[in-house]
Formats: sequence, structure tokens, C-alpha cells
Amino acid sequence: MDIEAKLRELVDKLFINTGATFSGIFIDEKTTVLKTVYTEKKEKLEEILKLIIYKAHQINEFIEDFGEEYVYAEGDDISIFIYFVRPDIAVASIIEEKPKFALLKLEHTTIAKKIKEIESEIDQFIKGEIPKQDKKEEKEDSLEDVELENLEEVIPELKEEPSLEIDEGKTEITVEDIRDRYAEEMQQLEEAEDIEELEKVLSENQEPSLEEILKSQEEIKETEGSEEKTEEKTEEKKERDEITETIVEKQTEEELYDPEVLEQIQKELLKEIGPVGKFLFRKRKKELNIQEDKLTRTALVMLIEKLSDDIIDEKRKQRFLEKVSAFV
Amino acid sequence: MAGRFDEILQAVVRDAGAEGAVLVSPDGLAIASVLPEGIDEDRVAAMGAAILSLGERVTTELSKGTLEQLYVKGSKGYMIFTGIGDLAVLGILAPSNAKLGLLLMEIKRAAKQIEESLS
Repeated sequence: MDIEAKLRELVDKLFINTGATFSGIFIDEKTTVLKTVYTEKKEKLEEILKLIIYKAHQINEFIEDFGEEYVYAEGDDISIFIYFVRPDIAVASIIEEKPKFALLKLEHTTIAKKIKEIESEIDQFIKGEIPKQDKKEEKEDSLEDVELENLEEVIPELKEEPSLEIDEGKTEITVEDIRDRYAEEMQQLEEAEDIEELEKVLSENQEPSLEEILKSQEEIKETEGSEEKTEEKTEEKKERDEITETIVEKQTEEELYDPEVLEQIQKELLKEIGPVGKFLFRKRKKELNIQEDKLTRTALVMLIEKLSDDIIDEKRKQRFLEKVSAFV
Repeated sequence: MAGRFDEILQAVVRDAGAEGAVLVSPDGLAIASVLPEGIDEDRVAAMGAAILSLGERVTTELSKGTLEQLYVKGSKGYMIFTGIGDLAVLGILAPSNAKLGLLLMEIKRAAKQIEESLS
């Protein structure tokens, strides 16, 4: 594995272990290996962190040999941690949740130790002795692919999905592509099941024998019969749905919730699992066919249940449930 | 008022075991200071305002409200910068063996007193 890949792996680890929205390794003033959910703000955040690192070094100008080890900053829902492996190498993260200093320090020092192990390779890399990857290869290892891997961590079912193909004319995979492609795949699967059934009844390669014709006729009759039953069932289901709708409408007449509560639920979800929560929220809302103008308690409870199943971490799940239960 | 600020800074240094303190205006000028000999108050003031402001740029960029505090830990100790609303920045120099919990508590107390004086 080349040095850039090793550094990217370390950044990935830091990103995941801290729950950061931005992580990076800053080497001298030129080289950075970053990972962030903010593709548009990436450069700006990188620039600001570089300036903070520079300012921290400036302390040595009025306190000789200050020996900066780390920078820590916190607000209500945000913390910034920068750890100096050595004066020209820093590891940094931005975490958008209640500050957890101890965790941040632990994770950053762990990564710093690993960077120390490959220090000589990094030095060679800085000096230019190890060539940088081609830009084309860099694109392939782009942040969007890494974001995709992160989504797979959060949404286990996606792990089994075939890899996305980049459509012609597109240069990057976005979260919307994942969502849209997933919907397509589900539809294709449903259609494939129908096709398989059809192929069983009709054989393409051989001329059917008399037995087979008779058999297929019977099957067709059975199918028709079952279709009738299915129709009956469908009608029954329709009746049931109507009854349910009536009940729901009655309930709706009694308990209609303000659509704002959906925003609040989404907000709490984002707090626990980060920006991927937006995608999941939309997906579950669509799956359950939640209508904002008919927002019943039942619908909200089902949505909350589904969303809480998407939160893998038990503590975060409980926290989410505690907070959203107040809304329902 | 300058005397009042000096008193507050001296109390922090005395009670929290800090080595120095400086009160900085939002544009990086020293309002009052209690610093060890040899340390330039203007440089500390400018650096403090700048580094805290940079941290606040991150929070602004991500719409995460205000940054309350930023500190730099070195082998020789701590430099802690605390925002006092939009009014000022309180900078504290502390040795590496300082009791951080006590220090942060005293800083909070001093920041409150300064805020009351300034507003």
C-alpha cells in the first residue's frame, strides 16, 4: 500500500471513530489528506484549519519552545481538535455534537502513533522521493467513494448491492444517485420475479408435448382461479384498506400533527447519525408513504420505529427515541 | 474601569494558579494584562483574538452558533482563550501542571465579571 493510501486509511479510521464531519492529516503546508461530508465547504474548512495550525505555531514566537501538543475548541454542539504529531504534521477533526474531549484526545493520539510508525515514508513523500498518485487514480479514490463506504457502514443492506456504475457524463456519485439506484434495483427485482414465473409456464426452446400443453392449460386454469381468488383477496384488501382509511381518517380528524414535527424528528436523527440521516429520513418517509397533510400518530410512530432501526449504536438509538417520544 | 479589570485578572492568576492573563478587545488590542516579564502583551492579544476568531469561522461556516473557548496545550503549559460575548476575549497562560478543572472554573467566573463590567 502506498503512503497516500495509508494516510487515507488513517483518516478514514479517525473519521469513523470520532463521528467527525471533517477529518484530516496536514503535512507541512502543502499536503493534506482529508475526509469530510462537506464537499463544497471542504476547501474553506481546510484553509481555516491550516490557519489555526499556523497560529498555534506562532505561540513559540513569544513563549520560547512552547512545544504545542494540541488545540481544542468547543461550542455547544461543536468541537475542533488538532493534534500535533510533530510541528509539520497535524491531525485534525471537526465534530458536530456535544464535545467529548477525552474521546477526541484518545482517537487523535492513537492515529498520531500510527503516523509516527510511517514517519520515514512520509518524509520521503514530502521530499518528493515517492511520486504522488496519478490524478486519474486520485479521482477513483475520491471522497464520494469513501462517503459511499460510510453509507454502507450505516446501512448494512447496501453492502450487498452491486457497485454503482457512473453514468456517462457524470463525474461523481452523489447520495441521490445511491437512493435512486436503490429504488430502481427494487423495481427490477420485482419484475424479475414475475419473469421467472412466466418462464416456468412457457418454454421457449422446445415444442411443448401434449402432456405439457394439457399441464399448462391446467396451470392456466389454476392461475385464473388463483387470479380470481387474488381478485377476491384484492377486493377484501381494498375493503380492509377502506376501513383502515376510515379509522385513520377518524383518527386523523382527531389527531393531526403539524408537519413541523417531521423536521424535528429529522433533526434529532441527524444529531445521532450525521448527514446520512437526511437520506435515510427521506427513504423511510417514502417507504411508509407519510403524507404531511395527514400526519397521524400511527404514521409518526411507524416512522420513528423504522428510523430507530437504522441507528446501529444502541446508546444513540435510545437517545433518539427519548428525544422524539416527546414529539408524539 | 481599567483598575477593575486588573483586579479580576489578578484574582484569576492568584486563585487558579495561572501564570498570566490578558483581556483583549475583539480587534486584537490589549485592554488589560497581568503577564510574566518578557511576554509581549500585544502579541498575545493579537494571537488570541485571531485564533479564537478562526475557530468561530468554522462554527459560522457550519452554522453551529458560537465558539465558547479555544485552548492550545504545549509542553510548557496552556494558552486558553475564552470569548466574552462579542465584547472581548480573555486569554490565560497556565503551567502544564495547572489543575484544568479549577482553572476553567475560575475563567468562567472571571469572564462573567468582565461581561458585567463591560455591559
